[in-house]
Amino acid sequence: MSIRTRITLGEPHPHLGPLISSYQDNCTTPEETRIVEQHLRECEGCQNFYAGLQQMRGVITELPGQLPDLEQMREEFRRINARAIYPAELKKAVQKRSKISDYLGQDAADADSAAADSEPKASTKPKRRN
Amino acid sequence: MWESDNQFNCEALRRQDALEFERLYYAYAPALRLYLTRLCGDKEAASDLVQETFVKAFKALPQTRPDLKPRPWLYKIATNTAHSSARLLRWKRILPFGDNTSERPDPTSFENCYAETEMVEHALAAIKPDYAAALLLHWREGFSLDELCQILGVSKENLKKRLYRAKKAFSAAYLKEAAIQEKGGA
Repeated sequence: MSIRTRITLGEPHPHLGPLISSYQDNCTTPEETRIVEQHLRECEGCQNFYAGLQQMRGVITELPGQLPDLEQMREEFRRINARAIYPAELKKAVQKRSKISDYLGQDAADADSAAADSEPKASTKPKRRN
Repeated sequence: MWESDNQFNCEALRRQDALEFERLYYAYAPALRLYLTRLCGDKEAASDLVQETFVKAFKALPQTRPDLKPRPWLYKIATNTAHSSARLLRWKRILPFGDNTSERPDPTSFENCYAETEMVEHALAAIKPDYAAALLLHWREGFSLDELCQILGVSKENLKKRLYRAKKAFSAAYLKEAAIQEKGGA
């Protein structure tokens, strides 16, 4: 495979280099845009610099993607699961169980209390006999 | 092209719903792996970083805002994780091109002549991670400047300066790579 692009930035006018870079990224004010565009029309060195920046953007933008390795992803997700998801799920389950236990505990106490209320209270006083 | 953030149920994600998180992982992990590989120039380190990124992300989900945008948020975690790792391991200083230096093709062989992609990737791995991250996120991953400011945690003015320096650094590294290739091919 051979190289099809060579990036040569060239040297811009020192005070205009950052401005030309911002112009490329569309983050100049209208006044700055006017200055840069006018300068680029007149200065060959800065034209080369700008062309180099555009080539650079091209080669980085066009970096190829990659097909996912599903086997590797499954293994990786298994590790993430073990390190983060499973402990969180376990914590949630423990909290839920604790809430249920609390609820059941309260319920049992309420039931005991209700049962106690329904039973006739044993009097400590001996009944008077007529 | 990346998945749209709109396809995810952010409420479920913020509740740490395991199934929704698994969908998020399968949607973004491949692109993140490639981004991190190019950032650190090391495939194995990138795999560890992907895992670390998703572990951190899952743990941080309950603290995220309701208007969570998963993609830039994941890239922010990935970038910060890579930077912490670079500071700890200093792989940039020890191995200028990551641990794949030994795997580089023999430049003297015509068949193994550097491809442009490899030159670009080597140049990216050779520059400061801050610079490589800015260029990759902006141009390769297509984030807007506002999103870049959020991901990198810098103001717009600082971002402009960083991008300019990154471009200069990349150009120098790329030319160095080209010189190595020419020397090998001569």
